[in-house]
Amino acid sequence: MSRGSADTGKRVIPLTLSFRRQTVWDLSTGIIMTHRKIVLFAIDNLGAELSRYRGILLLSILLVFIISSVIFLTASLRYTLLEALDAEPDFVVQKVVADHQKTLPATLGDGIVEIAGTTKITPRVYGRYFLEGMQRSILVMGVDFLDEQSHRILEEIIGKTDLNHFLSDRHAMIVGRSVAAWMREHRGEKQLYFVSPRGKRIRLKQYAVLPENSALFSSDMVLTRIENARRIFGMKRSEVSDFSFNAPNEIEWELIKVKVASLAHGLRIVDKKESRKVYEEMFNFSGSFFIGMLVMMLIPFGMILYQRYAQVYTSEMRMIGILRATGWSIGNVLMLKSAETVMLILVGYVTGVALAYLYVFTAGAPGLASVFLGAWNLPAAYQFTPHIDFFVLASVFLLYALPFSASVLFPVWKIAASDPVKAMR
Amino acid sequence: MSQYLIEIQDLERFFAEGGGRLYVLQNLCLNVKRGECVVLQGISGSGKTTLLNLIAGIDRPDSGRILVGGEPVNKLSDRFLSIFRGRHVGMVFQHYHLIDHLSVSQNVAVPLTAADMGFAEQRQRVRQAMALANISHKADSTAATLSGGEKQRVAIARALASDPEIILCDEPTANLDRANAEALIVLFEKLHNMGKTVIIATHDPRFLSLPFASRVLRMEQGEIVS
Repeated sequence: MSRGSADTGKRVIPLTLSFRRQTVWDLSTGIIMTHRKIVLFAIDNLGAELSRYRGILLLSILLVFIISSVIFLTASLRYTLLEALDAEPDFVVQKVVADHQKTLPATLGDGIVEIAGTTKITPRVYGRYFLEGMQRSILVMGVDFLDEQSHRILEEIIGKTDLNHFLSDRHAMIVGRSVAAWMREHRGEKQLYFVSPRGKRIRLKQYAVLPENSALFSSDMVLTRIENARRIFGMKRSEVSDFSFNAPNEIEWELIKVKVASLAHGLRIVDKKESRKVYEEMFNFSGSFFIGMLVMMLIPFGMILYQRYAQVYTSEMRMIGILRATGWSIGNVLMLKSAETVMLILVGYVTGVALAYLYVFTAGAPGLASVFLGAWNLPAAYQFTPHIDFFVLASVFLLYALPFSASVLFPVWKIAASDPVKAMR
Repeated sequence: MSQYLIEIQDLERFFAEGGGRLYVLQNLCLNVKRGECVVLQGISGSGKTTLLNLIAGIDRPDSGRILVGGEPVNKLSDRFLSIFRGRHVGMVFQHYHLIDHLSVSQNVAVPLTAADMGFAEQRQRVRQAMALANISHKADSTAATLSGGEKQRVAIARALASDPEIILCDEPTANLDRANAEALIVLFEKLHNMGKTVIIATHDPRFLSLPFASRVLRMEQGEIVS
């Protein structure tokens, strides 16, 4: 610090010359050291002014939370649906008259079997049944327990020992979680009464509840013997709701569709690819709608930030003026504000994403879930399967970080590049 | 090599006003030797502060030259001008210009943060500057909580932190009581004895009779009149 007064008369101020004499190594280590000190200064400054940044931080967290929640939810639903779709048969054949699904003759199955390349032809009996007491319709599915695949699936659900017991009871049914919950809350008994088109009363007792991981599809479902389903819907033994079948060679699909269509008039043949497209469009629409809304929210967010740095806080300008007047270059000031901004962005992003994860996968996304599962007849008791699309999350980070950084750094640069005397006033 | 540390030639600074020019400094010439203590006297608006800002490199003249150590300060790029401000000039502003939410030691460290020196050296320089300005006991206090005299000491400590050759003080006693003002004059004497070149802009009459001041210059309407 101190310099002897005796030699001061002979000393020459090195000024910028001392800077110019530095080697590249000195310069680079000096720059790294300066940057480290500026980052630490940014931490001190943020810590001292935390209350000022609280509003911006909360707004950032809220924004990231909402966007991430929608992304987590749609990614989870899409993943679960598409995964389930993989296990579905390749084709479903239905009869449609005046846009209404009608029953098919069971003999159509013989015709499909004859077409080369088709396997696992399965007649299915199902339909939606309106329960007056519930004022909701549920999906009643008749299961052919003699069918090997159905047998295996049921065995997974209720266990081998119980399956024999279940099969011996003609009035047993396995219900989805929402149906079970409704019966428990509103009826106080574990049975449902159906009335056939001929007015005959059919009573089915709850034997088991379908597992939670299938709730997305099975929440409002009732599985029972195929004979029970036929009685409920007044269908003859010679009738089925539709047929499903597989065709392992995808190249043959178009030809197979043509051949199946020629078997009877008014057949609708839906393949798995079409179903996948419908699912994807359904969630892409909901997700895009929300993301579109949130991108609109980013604009006022950016404006708030811009205003905060450009106009509102004169103390911010004053501080930049002081830094410039005491030897900070424009680059140093931008480095400081960049470090602060990066810290705010990271805290906002990580907190928002973590909260969204908990909200969707732990709390079940109350409120938001009904927007995506709103088509269900019963309130869905569904637990979302964690599935994270990192690419989309990274895109959200960029979408959030870029306007944030620009809204902060542009006005800071403008102030830093202006007259320090004016900024300090 | 010139015998002067600071050479100012035909300096002009004006501001646009009502389609014309309002001259704050006009054809100003001033030379200051190394280790000199110069007092600039004058009423408010006489151009003292503008002159100090121009010497410090935080403002640029409209015409004329300012040479410090032979370097034309007004021609330096922003990057080198920042280095010049950080290394060679310590400015004590009239209104202190401290960062209120930071502590005393953090305020004193501000010019050193952007300088290429290690943490240990920075800490040592901050300690020394605070000791010299007699403000070490308030190192952890927030600047906003200090009295006027204490703030002035912090501002001086900050100006001394980078061990500059030139100390520029703008109305250093304007907001101080008598005791604090006299303590400050003692501190200026100490700086002068250390070989620092000190320029004090003031209208405080106590500075007219400073025993260590080499010159007292009077400014009027942007010119040095005596």
